[in-house]
Amino acid sequence: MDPITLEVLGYRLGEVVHTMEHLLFHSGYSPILRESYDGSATILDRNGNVVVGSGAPYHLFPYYYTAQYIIERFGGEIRPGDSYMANDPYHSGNSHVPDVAIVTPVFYQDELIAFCACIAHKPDMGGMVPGSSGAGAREIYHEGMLFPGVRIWTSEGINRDVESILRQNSRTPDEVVGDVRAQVGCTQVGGQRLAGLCEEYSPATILQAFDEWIAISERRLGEELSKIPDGIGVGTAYLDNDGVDLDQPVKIHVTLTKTGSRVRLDFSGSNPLVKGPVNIRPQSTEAGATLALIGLLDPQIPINDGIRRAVEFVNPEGLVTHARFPAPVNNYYPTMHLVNCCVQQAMAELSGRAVAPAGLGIGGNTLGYTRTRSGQPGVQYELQNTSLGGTARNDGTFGAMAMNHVTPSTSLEILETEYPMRVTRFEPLMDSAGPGEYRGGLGYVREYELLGDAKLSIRMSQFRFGGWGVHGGKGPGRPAQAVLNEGSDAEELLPPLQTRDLAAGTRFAVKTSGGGGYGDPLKRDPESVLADVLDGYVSLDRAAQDYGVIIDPETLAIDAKGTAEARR
Amino acid sequence: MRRLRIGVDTGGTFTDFVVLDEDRGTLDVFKVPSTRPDQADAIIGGLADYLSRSGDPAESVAFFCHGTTVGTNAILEANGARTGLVVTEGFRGIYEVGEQTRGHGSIIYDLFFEKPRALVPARLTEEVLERVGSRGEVQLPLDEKSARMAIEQLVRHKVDSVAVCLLFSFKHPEHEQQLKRLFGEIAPEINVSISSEVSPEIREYYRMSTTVVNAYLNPLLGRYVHSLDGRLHELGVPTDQRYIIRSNGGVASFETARDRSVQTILSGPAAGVVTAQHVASSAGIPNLVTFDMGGTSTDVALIKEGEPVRRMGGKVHGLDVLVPMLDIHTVAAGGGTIAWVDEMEALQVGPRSAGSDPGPACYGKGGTEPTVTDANVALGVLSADQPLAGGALKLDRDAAERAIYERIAKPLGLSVTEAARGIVEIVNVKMQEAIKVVSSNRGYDLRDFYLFAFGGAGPLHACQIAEEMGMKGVVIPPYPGVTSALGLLLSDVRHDYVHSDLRDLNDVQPGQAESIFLGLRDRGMAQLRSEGFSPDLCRFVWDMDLRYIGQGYELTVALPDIPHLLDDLRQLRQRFDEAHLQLTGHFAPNERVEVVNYRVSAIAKVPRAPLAVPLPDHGSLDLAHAGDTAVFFHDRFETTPMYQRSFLAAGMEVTGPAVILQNDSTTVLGPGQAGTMDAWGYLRVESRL
Repeated sequence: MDPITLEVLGYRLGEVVHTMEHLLFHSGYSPILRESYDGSATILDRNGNVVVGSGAPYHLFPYYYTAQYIIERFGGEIRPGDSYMANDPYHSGNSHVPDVAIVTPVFYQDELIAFCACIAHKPDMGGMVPGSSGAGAREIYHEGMLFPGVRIWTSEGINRDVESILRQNSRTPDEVVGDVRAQVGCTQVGGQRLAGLCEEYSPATILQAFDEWIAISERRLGEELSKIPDGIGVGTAYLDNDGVDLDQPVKIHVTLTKTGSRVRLDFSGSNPLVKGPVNIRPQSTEAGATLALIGLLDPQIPINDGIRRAVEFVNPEGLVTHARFPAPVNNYYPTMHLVNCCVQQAMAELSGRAVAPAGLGIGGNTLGYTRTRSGQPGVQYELQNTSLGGTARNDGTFGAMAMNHVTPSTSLEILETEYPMRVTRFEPLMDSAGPGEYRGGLGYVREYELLGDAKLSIRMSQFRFGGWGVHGGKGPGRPAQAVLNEGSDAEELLPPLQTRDLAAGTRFAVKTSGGGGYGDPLKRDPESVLADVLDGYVSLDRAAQDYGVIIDPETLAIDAKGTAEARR
Repeated sequence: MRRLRIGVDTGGTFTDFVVLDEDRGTLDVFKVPSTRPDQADAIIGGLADYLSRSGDPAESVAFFCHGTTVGTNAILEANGARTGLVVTEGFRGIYEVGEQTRGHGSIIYDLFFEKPRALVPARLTEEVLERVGSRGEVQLPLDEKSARMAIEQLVRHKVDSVAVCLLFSFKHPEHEQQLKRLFGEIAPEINVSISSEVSPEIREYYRMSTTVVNAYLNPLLGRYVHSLDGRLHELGVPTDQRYIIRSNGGVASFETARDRSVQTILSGPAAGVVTAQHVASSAGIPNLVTFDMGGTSTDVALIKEGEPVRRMGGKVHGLDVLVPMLDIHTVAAGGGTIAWVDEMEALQVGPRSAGSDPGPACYGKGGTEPTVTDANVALGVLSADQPLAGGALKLDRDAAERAIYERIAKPLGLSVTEAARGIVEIVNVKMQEAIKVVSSNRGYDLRDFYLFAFGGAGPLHACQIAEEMGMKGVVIPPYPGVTSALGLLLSDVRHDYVHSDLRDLNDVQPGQAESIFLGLRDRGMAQLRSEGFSPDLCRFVWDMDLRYIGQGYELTVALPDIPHLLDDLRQLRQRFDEAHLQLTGHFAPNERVEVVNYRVSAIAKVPRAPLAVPLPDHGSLDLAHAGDTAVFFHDRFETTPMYQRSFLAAGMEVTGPAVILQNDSTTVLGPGQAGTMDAWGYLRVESRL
């Protein structure tokens, strides 16, 4: 295909998928979808390979497995007007149970040409706890109802039988069904647009563009890999524990072997499977690892199944990075994030290309209430955010996720309007960033006071093992924390994984960790250190101890002589 | 003495004038180079020159309307007021964390990602003890001592302007009002913006950001408007009909505009959208994407069924602002944008621009850096014999090629033509990205739309862009270079009002809704009256923001008129379902719907400039033919005829490849495209593949 047509078509396909994503976020019902954008949209070819996607980028790896299941299971029975629903991490490739995928086949003149699909995180899919993702889960059956790929929609509309199963088993039936309808709607719009492209260009051209678009990503990743030296790099990090054996750290380990335009990522050195829900499925490992590669090599490479082909995974079943049925997997995000950080470590060792890790320990916390504004039970689900690590050219950005764009900081006025709670603090934390020539971004505290009884499920990590710095930079001052009733007699530090009942009046605070520092803090421009002190980001003490910058506490001026001595 | 209505649109490179003779209905159009730092120099100079040329006395100016980029420039160049922020104690995180999203595409996992710089640094943020709850109830009264301390601290920090944004102030504005009074008492020199006046809507970060932008711009816009007003008086222009166009496409008096500076951020580009709106509804081309490509930036917007898409808020230059505006997206690239080679040996275009001085290398005013215009000269699209800007500028092809060779072709090992082609391709991709933002990203199908191309450079690039994006075609107005300025003589005076009252639509009593609507209408009527409009010139637009219960985003649905409110409420439900289905692919007619906002726009009609232009009775391609030139298309130079647009009569067709020349712009038709002159004097281009 001539490069201009291909470029135009790549562009038009991007348009289709952006439209789907926009519709998903703007016509969804649950706050996690409409306020936090925890979802994605994609176009797959008729063999189930991801061609182009938009939204949460780590969703773009599970789609392949979801489509494979549906093609295998339904094959010739796939009809125009159908949409399939899947959320089973073991059979249909989802990261965890709340991530519900809708897959809609696209036909042009009776011929299957593609699938349009989207994933949206649901507020509740049943199971042991509100939000479905509980610390107490010991097998996948504890994590909510499983749909391996069922026909949720036909040309007649929603499948009433499946709808009633969904409704009967969810604590938030209206939101779940509303979101499913928005998902089906957006994939149908995507399908119409694709059929329109076939009309305009011929289906053969579109199918060829799919293939070539996938090949471009493979080639571009290969080209970038060719530019760094061949060799081996290693990355290791530890989760605090699995939520069951509290004194037992869980190891994540990767050996990266780069040869020419290919790379092998070997996770064999990772911890064997654990009892708690911090195991992840291979699709999550692949997502976290590949995003680190692309982030360091060239973030412009379009994410699709082409990049899979440049990366070989050695990740045998039975590891924490490859959960074996029926192990629980609901708290996948912190583990996937550590995989991402380990691959970055390994790349730094091999190529010197590095950025400090973003604040570790983030996850999603859930508060389930029996009564909300609407009078119905409700689930408040919030993704805790973090800050990026320092890089060779800038401080880590405050208030940005490491691997994705999700969560535009759910409005606390919306939260207080919808749920029986109020927010008492939301502020940056002094001295929370990792010092460096370019420091990390800050951590922050957000504290809630419950006005009704609630069930809390906390799903975080790294309360013990914090982040680190690179090229002489330091890790953040303290790891993430979750605290009940801070500053009172009833103060209590929480473990990173726990589900428990909280009474009205309880205060619950999450303190996120800052990003790591890049480069020797003693090389940081003293004026930048002074600016951080004036802005309340760094204390006078830490300015002296971490950065060797002495500032007069009265005049707030830099003591040049003292600084020169301290830095000697 | 003639009665003149004057529209002046300030752009980054040129300041455009449209002068309408009210009695005869004739138009004069001209442009002068823009001036910095004071945009008013070009306005007053250009106006004085015109009056002395035409022999009209200054008293003949009966109406003056202005599109300004003062606000936009202050944001882009980060030179707004030194601004402080006052927040509820414990909530410094709202502004600093801001919106945590990172937009679309690769930026999402870019490990080097940076946010736009905050307008208020943390050190200029103060906290006050107070708290209001979600029902507007006072949980903690404002502590006056903490308020005074905060104010004194900001005085010590020497801020010029302050934004005050407290939690739930849209439900209970008293605490913010109290702070405003205290500022007036302690530090009357500080300009104070409070969120309950600037943007009284739920979602604290967006309200706060909007208020901060307002505070950041207010002192600057205030000084500018004051100075312009004074200089118009000095010139002897007596009329008090002096207006500034705002982001919503309506105009407001100088006084109103300067206190709500956040509403003027899109003042510059809004006027062009207004022109397009009138073209869409009167010339029978209801679906348009506007494409205003000037010297330094390009603005795009979408018009569907004759109505421009509006939004109740969004990002402008990376800042979040929650005020009603036309859905205009701006990209920092235009004809004067500079191409360069970065340290990775990749060709980059922008964001820097050569402006009007020295301008592109081909202007021969000493510019040595190659621009998009230079690339167009090198590709033969702009011909050296065809002067730009009505003869004000002669093009130097050698200078253009030399700049491209030295800065791009030589370092990259390309031919000048290849390098020029690369520059144009990159800038076109940027334009396509921008068009996507207002169309497909918002759920509109580009195949239904014409590209309405104007601005000095718009018609040069439009035909290729529209074809690549699969659009229906291109429409080029009679005066592409001053299409924006023309909109200033087509805009009505417009004020938007909103009232939030969340309620199940079934529970809304017609009487209740009516009294909300009438309350908003009375505010609008009072405002228009204070601006000198009699009630018979005023009209009102009624809208409600609705959603299915449980959804988070609303659709705005229009009500025909409030006298029939009861019937309308019933039909409203149905129209909402239909609109929802059309936009999102699904709807739920059995689910309950809730009202979020009531909106009223108060609009006063002003006399309008004519849209159609006189065309020659007879024309022929032979007459119009102005010689041939060699233009590079796709992979080679092709002999391409040039035509003078002024010789094209209604109904005449030009087939591509062709270059159509006129005073203030040049249109390029690619091979396989054909352009037809319609009865209004608008050139419509379509692909004939």
